[in-house]
Amino acid sequence: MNLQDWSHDHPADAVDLARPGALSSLLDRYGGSQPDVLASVLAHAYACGAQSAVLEYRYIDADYRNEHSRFYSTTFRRYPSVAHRLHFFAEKMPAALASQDEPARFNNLGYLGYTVLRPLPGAPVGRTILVPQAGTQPHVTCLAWDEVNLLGERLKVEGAPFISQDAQMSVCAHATLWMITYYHYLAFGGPRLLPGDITAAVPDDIGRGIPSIGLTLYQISVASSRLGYPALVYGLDPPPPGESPFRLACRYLNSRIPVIVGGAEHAFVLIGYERLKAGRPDERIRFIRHDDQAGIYISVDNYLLDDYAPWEYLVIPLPQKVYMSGEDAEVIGEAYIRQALDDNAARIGTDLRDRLDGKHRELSFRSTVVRSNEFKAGLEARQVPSTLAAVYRRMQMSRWIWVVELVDRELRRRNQPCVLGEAIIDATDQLRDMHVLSWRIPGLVGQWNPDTDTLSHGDLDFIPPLRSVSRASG
Amino acid sequence: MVSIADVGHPSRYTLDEYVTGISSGVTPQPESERSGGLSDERAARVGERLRELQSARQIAESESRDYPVT
Repeated sequence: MNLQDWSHDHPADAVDLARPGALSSLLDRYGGSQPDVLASVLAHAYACGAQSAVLEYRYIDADYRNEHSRFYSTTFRRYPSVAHRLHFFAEKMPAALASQDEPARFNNLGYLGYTVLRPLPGAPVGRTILVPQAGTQPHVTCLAWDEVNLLGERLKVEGAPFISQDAQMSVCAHATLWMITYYHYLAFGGPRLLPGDITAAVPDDIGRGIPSIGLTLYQISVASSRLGYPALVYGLDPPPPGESPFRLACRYLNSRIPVIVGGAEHAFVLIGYERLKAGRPDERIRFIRHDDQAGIYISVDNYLLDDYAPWEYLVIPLPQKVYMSGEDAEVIGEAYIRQALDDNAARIGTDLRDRLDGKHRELSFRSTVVRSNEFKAGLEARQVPSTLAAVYRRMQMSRWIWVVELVDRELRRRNQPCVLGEAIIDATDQLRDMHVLSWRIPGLVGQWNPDTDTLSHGDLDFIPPLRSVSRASG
Repeated sequence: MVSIADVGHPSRYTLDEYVTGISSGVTPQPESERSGGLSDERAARVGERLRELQSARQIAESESRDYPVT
């Protein structure tokens, strides 16, 4: 890379992506010695309908500047301290953009997102957020809004954050942690962490920190905890008894929480999933992942045949106040719902109980961890009847709650409201004294007051199946 | 207008006169009338299942320590 070529005497260039050769010219200029990830990003932008782009020069990117400060400024070989940023649009650039008398305007041009281009020939793709493709979008559960400022104009994009490793300061493990912490920053208001923060959080008692030759899952787990996201680790060979990789991962993906997978000595991030052939005997799950060495929004149609098969571990960095795992919450929630159905069989009949235990598996349980304020605020949007919404909105709840839902699988398959009952569990609760904060079955809602250790009940009119709190569709 | 000087101690006012209760929407009931807790048998099964899952996580934590990713 010629250092002189990185500086320009004007702030930005508009790129007509519809012209033949535009893609190749971008790859030639920025792809460096590792063009595959950039090719994936550009291909994705094209697939999303990008017609034009704006190349923003001399962009001071917090993440790259941090990498430069911590590492690239220490090498004999020189690297620029500024990045470029490439913004994608669904519309063509208006002719007025060339006018020097008017501020540049980009609103109403269908902003599709951006990718930061680092002056690193071996790792050009920095912080990136692009929208998913329209067909994929409903199945990407870990989406967050980001806002940029381009030549004075604010633009917003909803996507899943991505970054590629540079194989010096960061390897795939660092990149996955960066993607997750930046996502939590945008989605849940977590701290804004830079690559140097992540490197510093890794225990350095095994191997050299920088340049890194790779981490162990132990180092990922400890670093995640030090960064404020204590991680759960699941082995998949075999998975915990009664569990499957799908069930384990989907509980967190339903909750908009990304999942790290370790397989073939590589780590990547799951950001969504889709049920294929739902309800049929050959039903399976298509996962959607960001892979820092391959690209963004990559579909994994069959994880058993994946390039990184066998998947060996799942690592789930969780918000601090989620003490309870998803499978534990589901065991407790299911038990309370079953108990309520048994105790009130004389009043509400045994239909649900029979369907739950029937051989056709008509009903199942789905567990989602959500912030209680969002749960309450979303009740009306989910068209929860006012009698039940009144009870839930007045309940005192922990900041994070597990919602274990009793789901009609056929209705879920048809993407219709499918929740017949639910249990709400304090995500900070302990397993040696099991309680649910609330449970609901047809005709009845129950509550437990942890301060007084008392139970309360309320009668409900008929409630039709409700929409799930889960982010996942179907 | 009420000034701070008008506020005596003890107060002539009781807060109860000025508040309206916001009900929780549910009624406390004796557990004997309508159960809400787990039966002993079910609680035991749940406890056993939770221990089984916890044990699996401990094993995974331990075995994954040296698993390398690059």
